[in-house]
Amino acid sequence: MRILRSLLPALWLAAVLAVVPARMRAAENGEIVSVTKREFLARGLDRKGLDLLMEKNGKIYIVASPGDLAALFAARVPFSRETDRFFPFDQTGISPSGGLNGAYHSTLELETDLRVLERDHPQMAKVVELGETLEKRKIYALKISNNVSLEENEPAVLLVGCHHAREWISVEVPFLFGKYLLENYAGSPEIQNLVNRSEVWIVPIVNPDGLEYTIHVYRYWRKNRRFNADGSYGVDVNRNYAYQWGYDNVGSSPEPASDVYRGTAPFSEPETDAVRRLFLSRNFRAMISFHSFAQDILYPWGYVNAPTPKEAELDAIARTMSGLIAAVRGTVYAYGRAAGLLYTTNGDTVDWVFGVSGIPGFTIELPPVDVDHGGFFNDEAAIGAIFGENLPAMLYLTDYAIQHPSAPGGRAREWARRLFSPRRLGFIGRIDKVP
Amino acid sequence: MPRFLLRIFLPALILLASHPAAAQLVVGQYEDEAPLRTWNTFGIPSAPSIGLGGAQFAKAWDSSVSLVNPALLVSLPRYSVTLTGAWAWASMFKYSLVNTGVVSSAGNLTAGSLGVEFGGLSLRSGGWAFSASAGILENYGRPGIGLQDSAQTYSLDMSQSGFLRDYHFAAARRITKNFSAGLGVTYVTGRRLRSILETYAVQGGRITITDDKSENESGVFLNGGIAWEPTGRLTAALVFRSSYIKKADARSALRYQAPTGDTDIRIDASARNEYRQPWIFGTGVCYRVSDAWTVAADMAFFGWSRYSAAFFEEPLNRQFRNVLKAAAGVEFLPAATLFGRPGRVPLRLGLSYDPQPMAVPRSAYVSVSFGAGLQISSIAVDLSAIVGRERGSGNSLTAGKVALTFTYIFDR
Repeated sequence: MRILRSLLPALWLAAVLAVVPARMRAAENGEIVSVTKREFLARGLDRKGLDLLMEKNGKIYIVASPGDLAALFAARVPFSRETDRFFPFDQTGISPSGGLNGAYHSTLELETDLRVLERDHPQMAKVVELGETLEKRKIYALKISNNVSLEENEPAVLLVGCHHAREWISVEVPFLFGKYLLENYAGSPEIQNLVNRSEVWIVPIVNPDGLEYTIHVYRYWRKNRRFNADGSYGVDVNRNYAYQWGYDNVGSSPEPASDVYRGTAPFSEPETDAVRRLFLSRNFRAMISFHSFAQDILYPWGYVNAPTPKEAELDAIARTMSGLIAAVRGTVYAYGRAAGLLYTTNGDTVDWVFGVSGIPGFTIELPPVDVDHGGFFNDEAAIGAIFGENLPAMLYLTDYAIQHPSAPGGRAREWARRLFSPRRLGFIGRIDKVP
Repeated sequence: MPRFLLRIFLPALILLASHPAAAQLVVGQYEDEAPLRTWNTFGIPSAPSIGLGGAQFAKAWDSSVSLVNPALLVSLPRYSVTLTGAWAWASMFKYSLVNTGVVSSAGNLTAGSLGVEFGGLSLRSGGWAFSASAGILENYGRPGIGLQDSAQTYSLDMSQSGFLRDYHFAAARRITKNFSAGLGVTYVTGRRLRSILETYAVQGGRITITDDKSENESGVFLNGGIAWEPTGRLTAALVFRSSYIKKADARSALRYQAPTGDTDIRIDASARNEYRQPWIFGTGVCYRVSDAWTVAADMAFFGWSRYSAAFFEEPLNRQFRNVLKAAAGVEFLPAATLFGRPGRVPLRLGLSYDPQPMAVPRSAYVSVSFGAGLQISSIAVDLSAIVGRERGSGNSLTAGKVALTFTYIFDR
C-alpha cells in the first residue's frame, strides 16, 4: 500500500502528461521531434534540409513538417516527440486581442471571454456574478461542471487570481485552466472524469478595479481602489479575510497608505466578501489562490510560522504539485509553509479557507522567480508556458478534491457558514479561533 | 512579494494631505484626454473677446470669430490679419497617478503654456467674406512629476504633453442687409504623449520600468452661424459646431528592463482610439448702448452626455452631463488721441460661468476678465486676462489666461 501511495504522484503525472498533448497530437502543423545526434549523423539527416532547432544533451531537435515526419517514419528513424516540452499549451487559444495590456486580460476582455466559454459550452460552463466592486465592476466566477445548471453536491475546487492588481499572470492561469477543461472535455476521458465528478469554480479577477488601474494608470498598483479616510487609496484584499485578521502589524498593516493595509474590518471589501460568500455556499474541497512572483507553493499558516494540524498532508500535496510542475519543463517551484518560506501574512485567503474549512488551500506564486527576471512582468509569450506547467498541478488538486469529498472540513464548513455571517450577526472584529 | 520591494515602493507613497471625495476613483476634470483649463473648448477667443468673458457669438473683432460664428466675418474690414499669443495655466489636484494612490501632493499643482495661439486672416468682397486661420485649440499638458529618494535607490518620473492644432477655413454671405450666414470647416490634428519612468536599484544594477503612451489625433468638424441685426444697435446670433470623432492612432509601450537578469520584456500595443466630441449650440446677443458702450452675452450648450471615448479597443468610463456655458461682458470704447492721431482705447470687463461635464463631482469655473487695448489707424493691440476659480470638486482649482492680440487692418 505504501509503495502504491508513493507511486501515485508518478501515475498521476503519467496520466496528466497523456492529457496535455492531446491537442498537440491533432495539430496539422507538424511536431518538434528529437533524434540522437549519433542517429542523426548516421542516417545522414544533416543533408536532408531539415529545419533544425537546436542541439542539447546529445539530441538534435528538429521542427518537422508532416512530410518530414512521414519521411522519418518511412526511414524508420527512431525519434521522440518533443512538441509539448516547447509548447505545453496551444497559445492560439488565448483570445485577448492585444489591447493596452497585450495578451493579458482586462476586466472587459475577461467578461467577454467568460461569456464566450459559457455560450460555447452551455451544458458545462456558467458565468456567475459574485458581487460588485467599489467602482461598480462585476466580479465574475466561471463554474464548470457537467450539468452545470444543477445544484449538485459534488466536491468543488476554487481557483482564484488577481487579488493583487499588478499580478497579471495570476489572471491567465486560472482562466486558461477553465478554458482547457471545457475545450478538452469532449476528447479526453481524463477530463471528463474530473469534470463529471466535481465542480470547478474559477474567479480569475478578484480585484478588477485595481487591475484596471494597473492597465490605465500605474502598472505596479497592488491594492483595490478603496478611498481611505486619510486620503490614501486601497486595501490589500489579500489581508482582508477574517481568519486571524490583524493578528499583528507585520503580516498586515493598520496604516491605510501601506501596500499591505488590511482594511477597517474583516471582509470590509466587496472583493473579499464576494469570495467569502462563494466559498461558504459550496462544498469546496481544495483551493488555489494564484499570485506572482517567486515560484512558490505556499500552504498555511501564513499568519504565524507554526504548523497546522494537517502540515504533513499539505506538504505532501504541495510537494506533488511542485514535482508535477517541474516535470513539464523543469521550472522549480519551492514549496512550504507560507510564513516559513516567504514571510508572514495575516488575513490572507488561504489561511481563511483553511481556518474555516480545513481543506487544502495553496497560494501559488507564479513565475518569474525574482525581479531580475521580470518581477511582476511576464513576457506575453510566456503565458501559455506558465499555464502549461501549472496545468498538471491544477488537475492533480482537482482529482485530490474528488478523492477526498468528505474530509473533516465538511463539518467545519457548516460551522463557518454559521459563524461567518457578519451581517446577520452584526459581527465585525477580529476572529481569534475557529474550530 | 519580496519585502525589499515593499521597502522600495513605500517611499513613493508620500501622503501629505487628507482629502474628501464622494466615491472611489473620481479623477474629476482631469482625465487623461481632458484639455487644460476646460473641457468646453469652442473657438480660440482673441484678447478682446477674452476681455468680455469670452463672449463672441454676436460680436466680431477679428478673424478668430470665424471659429464660432463665421457669419460675423461680413462685419469685419475688407482685409485683416490677426495674431494672438497667450500664457495659459491651470491648477489641478487629481490626474493620472497624482493623488489617485501612487503619489500625493499637499496641494494643487499647476501646468501652463506660453506661445502663439492663433493666427488668421479675413477678407471681404462684396457680400462675401472669407477667413483662414490656424491655432492651438487644446493643450493636454500636465504638471510633471519627479521623485527620488535620498539614497537614490528609487525614482519616478511622469510627464504628459500635447496639443490639438486646428486649421480652419470659412465663408460667409450677407444675405440681406441685416442678415448674414456663414459656414466653416476645421481640420484638427495633434499629439498627446504620456510617459512614466520608474527605476530602482538592485544588487548589481538598476531595474527600469517605462510606460509610454502616445496618440496622433485628427478630426474634421463643421461650424456655422447666422447673425441678425434687427436694428443698428442690436445683433443676435445662433451658432453651432458639429459633433465629430477625434480619431487617434495610438501606441503603448510597456517595458521592464533588468540588466542583471538580461531581462527585457515589452508589451506593445497599437489601436485606433476615438473620442466622440459633442454638438455645440449657442446663442448670443450684442447691444451697442452708445458709440462708446457695448454689451455682449453668449450662452452655449455642450452635449457632453453623448461623449464617448474608445481607448485601445475598450470604452472609457466617462459619466458626463450636458452643460450650459455662459459669458457676458461690457466694452467701453472711448475716443482718444494717440501719438497725435485719432484712436480708441478700449476697456473691457467680463464674467463667465463654465460648468465642467463630469457628473461627479459637479464642478464649474466662475471667471472674471478684464482687458484693455489701443486702436490707432489700422492697428489694434489688445491685452486681456481671465482668471477663474472652480467650485464643486473641493479642490478650489484655478485656471487663467493672459492673451495679447495684434490685428492689422488693411482697409478699415
